Amino acid sequence: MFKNLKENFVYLIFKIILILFLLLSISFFLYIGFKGYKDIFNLSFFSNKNLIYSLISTIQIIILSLGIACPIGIFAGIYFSEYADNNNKIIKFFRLCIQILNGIPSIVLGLFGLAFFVFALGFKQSLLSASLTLSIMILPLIIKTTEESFRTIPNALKEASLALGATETETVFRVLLPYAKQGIFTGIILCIGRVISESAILILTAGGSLSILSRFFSNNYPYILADSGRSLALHLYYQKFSYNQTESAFTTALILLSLILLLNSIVILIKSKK
Amino acid sequence: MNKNINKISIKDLYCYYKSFLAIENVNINVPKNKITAFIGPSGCGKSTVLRSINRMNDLVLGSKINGEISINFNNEICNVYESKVDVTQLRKRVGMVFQKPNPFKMSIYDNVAYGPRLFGFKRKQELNETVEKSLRNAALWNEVKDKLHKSSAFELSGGQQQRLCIARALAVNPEILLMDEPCSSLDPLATVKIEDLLIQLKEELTVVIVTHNMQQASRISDMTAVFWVKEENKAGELIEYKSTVDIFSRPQDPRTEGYITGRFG
Ligand SMILES: Nc1ncnc2c1ncn2[C@@H]1O[C@H](COP(=O)(O)OP(=O)(O)OP(=O)(O)O)[C@@H](O)[C@H]1O
Ligand SMILES: [Mg+2]
Repeated sequence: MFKNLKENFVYLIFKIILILFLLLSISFFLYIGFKGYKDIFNLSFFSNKNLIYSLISTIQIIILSLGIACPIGIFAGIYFSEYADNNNKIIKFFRLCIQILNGIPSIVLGLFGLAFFVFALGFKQSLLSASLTLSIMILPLIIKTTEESFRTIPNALKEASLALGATETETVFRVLLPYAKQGIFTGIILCIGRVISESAILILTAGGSLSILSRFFSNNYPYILADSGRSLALHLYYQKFSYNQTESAFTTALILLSLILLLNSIVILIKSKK
Repeated sequence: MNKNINKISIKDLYCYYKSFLAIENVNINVPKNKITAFIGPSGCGKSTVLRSINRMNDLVLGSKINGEISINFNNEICNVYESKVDVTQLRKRVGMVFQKPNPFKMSIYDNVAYGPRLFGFKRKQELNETVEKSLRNAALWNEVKDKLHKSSAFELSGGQQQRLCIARALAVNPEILLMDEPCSSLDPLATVKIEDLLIQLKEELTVVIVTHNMQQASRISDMTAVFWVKEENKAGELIEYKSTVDIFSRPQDPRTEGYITGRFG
């Protein structure tokens, strides 16, 4: 009798916490939605070139940073899980480096990007510098998710393939990769989320100018990665702090939030398909 | 013509996992086109011996081998652990079927075609023929011929999956088939199917099968090797090896007798 009471009490606490949490997040979404929706249904949204420009730049940054980090990260992850000798000192050192890299605050990475890409390599404050710095930020995550997706594959499959006379590499690419694909893909989507939400690195390395706006609709627009620019998150930052346009900042916030929600739904969808 | 040829000769085999001696001084000659059964209590090293024949134990970190295993490929003796041996070629010629069915996440066809494709089978016609022949040999063709490409291998029953794994192993045309308790997760009917299959297959290849099922050993095997765990050092050793009829009708070692009659082990 008493035991049951205790049990019920614990359940009650769980429920209260859960409901509080739900209320908090729902009111957060509602608040952003309420503050930001007006401009979206306003025709002026489509003529708001700054916003659209930031959206396109965001996509460019995503493509470039993932284009750099994915091949390196996926290969490194495969190497760590399938080929590397875990007792090797150099491998251990590499692992440590990746772990540390994963823990570096993004503002510090941004500072590095500023010193290295912007000044030392002379890429200036540009979408290119920002993307390169962002790719360093997401690299550890890609390595980790790749490695983990490979590690969860039952050893029996690997043995089955090797026992047929396949080499290690044939086994990795023909048998194991199809299994790991889902996990790697999930990792990539999470990385996109991180790139979209990142602000510190962009503040320091992207520049944030809208001067190329005039060339926006000209043919050479998509190729101007070497120009200063801004992602949505950075746009929001400037809207608030440079121009104090709080209302339009909320519009940007709503778009950002929707993108993140979309990405997370994709992740949930992938995971449920398993 | 093939009478009395030793397909596999194991001489003075010692296997270690790190510093643990798992197998001590095993000597076996496996005759060609026969079924040889490995029996014995759990942990006596049956799988270890089996897996050292196609060098699958190389994959276990810290495993080490002393002794000699040689295989007769068309009268050419191949010393398995010689450094010049191409392990992938060895494993192609010495197929293996595992305890738990382990099909790949692909269609039935692609599972069977996996091996041939590795070894350069490209032409569709040729591949189709190999797949069909292997599935027929594994007594699975009639059950799957209508869904070769449509169905994933995971949609098959456990027994069908195991026969698919046998077909997959047969598709690269091995000369030896090593089987580690292939029927332990199957029901009696599926087991009988696979046993019949093995008896047919021995016309073409040499089978070594690990089994815990005494009826199975006596029903299908020609030779039986009995392994035991040594008390002093827990290493596995071979205690008796002769024709299955002799093992089951006049076992010499009291441990063999006790084991096959189910008194201990
Ligand atoms: N990968 C491994 N690492 C360390 N020790 C191992 C490994 N595989 C097997 N052993 C040990 O080697 C010995 C023989 O194992 P093995 O798997 O060959 O026995 P088995 O006769 O096949 O047993 P079972 O009938 O249970 O399958 C056991 O003591 C086991 O603990
Ligand atoms: Mg075993």
